[in-house]
Amino acid sequence: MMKRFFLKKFFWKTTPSPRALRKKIYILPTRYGLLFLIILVAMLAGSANYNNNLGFLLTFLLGSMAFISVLHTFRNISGIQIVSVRTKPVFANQKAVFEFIVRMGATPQLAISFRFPGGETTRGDILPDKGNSVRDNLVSVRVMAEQRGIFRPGPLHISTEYPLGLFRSWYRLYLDLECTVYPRPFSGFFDPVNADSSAYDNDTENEAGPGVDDFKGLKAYQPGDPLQHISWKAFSRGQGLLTKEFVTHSGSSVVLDWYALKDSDTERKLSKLCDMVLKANRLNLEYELRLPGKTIGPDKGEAHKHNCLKSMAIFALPPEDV
Amino acid sequence: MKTSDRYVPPILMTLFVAMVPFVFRLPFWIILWCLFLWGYILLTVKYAWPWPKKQIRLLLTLCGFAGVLLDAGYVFGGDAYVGVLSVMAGLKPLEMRSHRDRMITVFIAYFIIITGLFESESLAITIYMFLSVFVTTAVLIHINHPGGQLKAKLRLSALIIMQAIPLMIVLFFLFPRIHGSLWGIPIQGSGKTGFTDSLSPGNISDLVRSHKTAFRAEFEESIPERYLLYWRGIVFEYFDGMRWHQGKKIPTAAGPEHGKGPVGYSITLEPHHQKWLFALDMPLSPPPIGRMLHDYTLVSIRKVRQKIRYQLKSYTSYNTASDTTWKHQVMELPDRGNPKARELAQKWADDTDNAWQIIDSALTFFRKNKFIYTLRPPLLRKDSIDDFLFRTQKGYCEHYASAFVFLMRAANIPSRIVGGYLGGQVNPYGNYLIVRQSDAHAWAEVWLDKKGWVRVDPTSAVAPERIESGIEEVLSLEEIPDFLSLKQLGPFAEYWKKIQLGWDVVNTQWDIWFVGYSSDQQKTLLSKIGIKNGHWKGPVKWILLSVGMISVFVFLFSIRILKKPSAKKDLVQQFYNEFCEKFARVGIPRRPDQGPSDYAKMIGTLRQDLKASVNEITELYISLRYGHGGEPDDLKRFKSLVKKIRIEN
Repeated sequence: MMKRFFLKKFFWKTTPSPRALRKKIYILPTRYGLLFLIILVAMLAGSANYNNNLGFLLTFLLGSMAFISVLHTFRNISGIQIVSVRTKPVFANQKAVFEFIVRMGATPQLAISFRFPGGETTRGDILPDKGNSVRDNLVSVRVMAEQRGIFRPGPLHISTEYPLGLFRSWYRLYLDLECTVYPRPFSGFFDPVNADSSAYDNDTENEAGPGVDDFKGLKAYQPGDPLQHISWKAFSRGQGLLTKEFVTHSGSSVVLDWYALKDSDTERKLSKLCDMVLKANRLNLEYELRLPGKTIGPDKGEAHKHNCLKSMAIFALPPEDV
Repeated sequence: MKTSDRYVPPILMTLFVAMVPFVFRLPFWIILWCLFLWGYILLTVKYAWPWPKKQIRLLLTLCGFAGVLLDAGYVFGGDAYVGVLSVMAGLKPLEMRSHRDRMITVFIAYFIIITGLFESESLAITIYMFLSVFVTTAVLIHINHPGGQLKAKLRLSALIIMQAIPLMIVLFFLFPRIHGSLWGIPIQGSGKTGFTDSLSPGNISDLVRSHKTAFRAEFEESIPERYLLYWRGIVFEYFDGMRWHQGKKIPTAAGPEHGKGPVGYSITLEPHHQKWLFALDMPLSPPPIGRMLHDYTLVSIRKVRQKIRYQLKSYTSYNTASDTTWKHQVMELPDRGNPKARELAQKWADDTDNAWQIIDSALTFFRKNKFIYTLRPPLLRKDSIDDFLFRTQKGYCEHYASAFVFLMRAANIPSRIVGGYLGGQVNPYGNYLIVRQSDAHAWAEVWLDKKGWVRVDPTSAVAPERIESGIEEVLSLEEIPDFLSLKQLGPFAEYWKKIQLGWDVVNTQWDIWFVGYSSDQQKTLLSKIGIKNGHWKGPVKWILLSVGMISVFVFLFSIRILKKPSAKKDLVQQFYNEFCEKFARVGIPRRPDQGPSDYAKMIGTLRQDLKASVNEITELYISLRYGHGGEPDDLKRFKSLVKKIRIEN
């Protein structure tokens, strides 16, 4: 069972069958529905007073339409299938984005709102799949992730007021969703000169740093490559996006050490380390992360970065939260 | 255009559509007000001008309401209500930035629609109501789903209306109706045409200018001869020297005792906000909704505020000699005034005792002296009867009737004026008469021994064509009010007339069956299906019937609306599943991750013997499923191949 997913890259998680998800669908009038009801009562009273049969006819027509719209609202929400979901790790105080691929039931399902508790509402239509593209019915639902750790957004609220806005139909989906939240980077400490010496507890002959890296060559751009390494010259020549690759001299490895940081606050320490990891990665250094009871590396590259960040995300958290 | 601006044109359109039925009733400034504000909003949206600030909106609101109040003049009646709604319809689009404002604006549109219905309940308005609801609902859907296609919204709007109609019909007929009104009906000011309770020269000629329908009369058998179609309305017995008044009202139980050829008919009376009911001379007895007065006129118990229909029987020739209730009123004349007329009448009375001869003298007097029948008689001075008889000699039916009755009374013959209608237009498509305000007429009745009241129409002495063919034939062309000038349309006039008559038939049926439906009709309908009001079972049955019928419709729609996608038949998939099952039975199931061609490959390696047909089936399946349908015979071939394939272990 995929209980949790720490993501080195995007990956799709398959959700339980749609039948199982169609549990309790609630339907209640919106405040406009209640206002409409009051208007209907006023219309009915007016028609009765003036004995106006056409007034009765209109009142009953509108009332019946509101009634019928309950069925339409219900149909509009039932049968939505959530095919899969994915998310990307975020830093604390960023919005976690959950991307769902959804599929409609019997008919297109329009003006459907998706929301996590306390999150933003995303409204969209679920239309027939046009081709093979998974982007056909991609719904991104955002919610603020405030603390590092494993963020569980809670039940997904799916609701609709379509077609008349008089009734709102909704249900909650208890999906087993998680998003890794890295510590919030706290910048300003990655300076080789001013850095705490033990942070660069190195056994290298050469000083590590951007200036001393040797240019190795160009490779095709991959998402995540540092922007300042993109060869804009090559891009302007029409060769597409290429990234300059650098090599660090062998053995030039840095150590990012928890104990070397002179700070009493755990969270701030993690924030600083997080920032260092990001900078080291941007400079394409080989680095080693030392946390109490755990050492990662030395290594380099995106996978290593995520590994380090994830370790910091869940650092010192009670096991039930992990 | 911003997203919120995309709502503006549809909402303006729905307000406009909703307002059309009463746009001509609105004061001119309100029309300008709406057009100006809407135009401004459209320009604001187009050129991205800043939206008006709150203070400006408030100021405009105050101005608008002040304008309506000034127009209404402290009387908050229907006109003021329509005015307030229209002013709001003009203003509200100025603040449509939020979903809430837009929803409320659409609700206002629904309110405007119902307001339009109080103007008229004709079939045309009914059809238009459905159109307005259709447009407004489409806009409501648009507000709740701003993306999406216009066509789909219109279709959904129509669909919801269609699905609501059966429920609407059940509610319309079964929802309990009350008698009378909840809080009373404000009196509408002017604009109503019809008789008043006093008659003075000019009253009826004013009426004649209106082409509005007064009532329709449907006869059980053939329509009586035209010269008998005198529709009795009010009797004027008391003359004050200037005007004729109704006099004392004494109720009686029944009409003339003797008479010939009772004709049965029913009358659908347009609301005239008075109490009188019209009947063919002479009604036998009052209808259930009214009572009869001593002068054989009928009055309704309540004022006629909506269309009503009642059935009557009348004698076209009658004898009322036994009646004595009238005597004290119909001889009186003012003490002074009109000396010349008195003198003339006295002279006739001196010559003979025979009442018939006196009547004849009067009619001959009109005929001989070249009296002129005209809608535009000159103004009469003091002693109006003398002035008319001896100076102007031009007048309309009320002039002749009042002069004639004056002469008769001066000659000691009891007489009175009857106001009502004469004739009517026969609708050949419906065997009924349309009696319009332009058929308004006044004639006289004289009392003769042994005969009782006898109808004398002095107008016939001056303009016999009026009785025989109606008003259009009598008046010269320049006197004909605009509506009557059909003659000018030339050959199209006939067609136009036919269309109008046909439409009138439809509308009359509509009036009878739809507009006339009220608490009484509901009782009748319910008792026909066995629900009696007196017994306790009645209301229970009533509720059960309503709930039952509504449930049936809801159930039917629920199946239709909420049906599962699997109910849809997909033959291609069905046969392919059958194919897969066949192989699963022999131990080659299709794994969930296997596409059709992978599966075929797998079968191919395991069962070399079936490779060819499996490949063919798979190819067909792929082309039917993912291609563009393939050849017309492909599905048939696919089916037969799947059915044919035999797998032995």
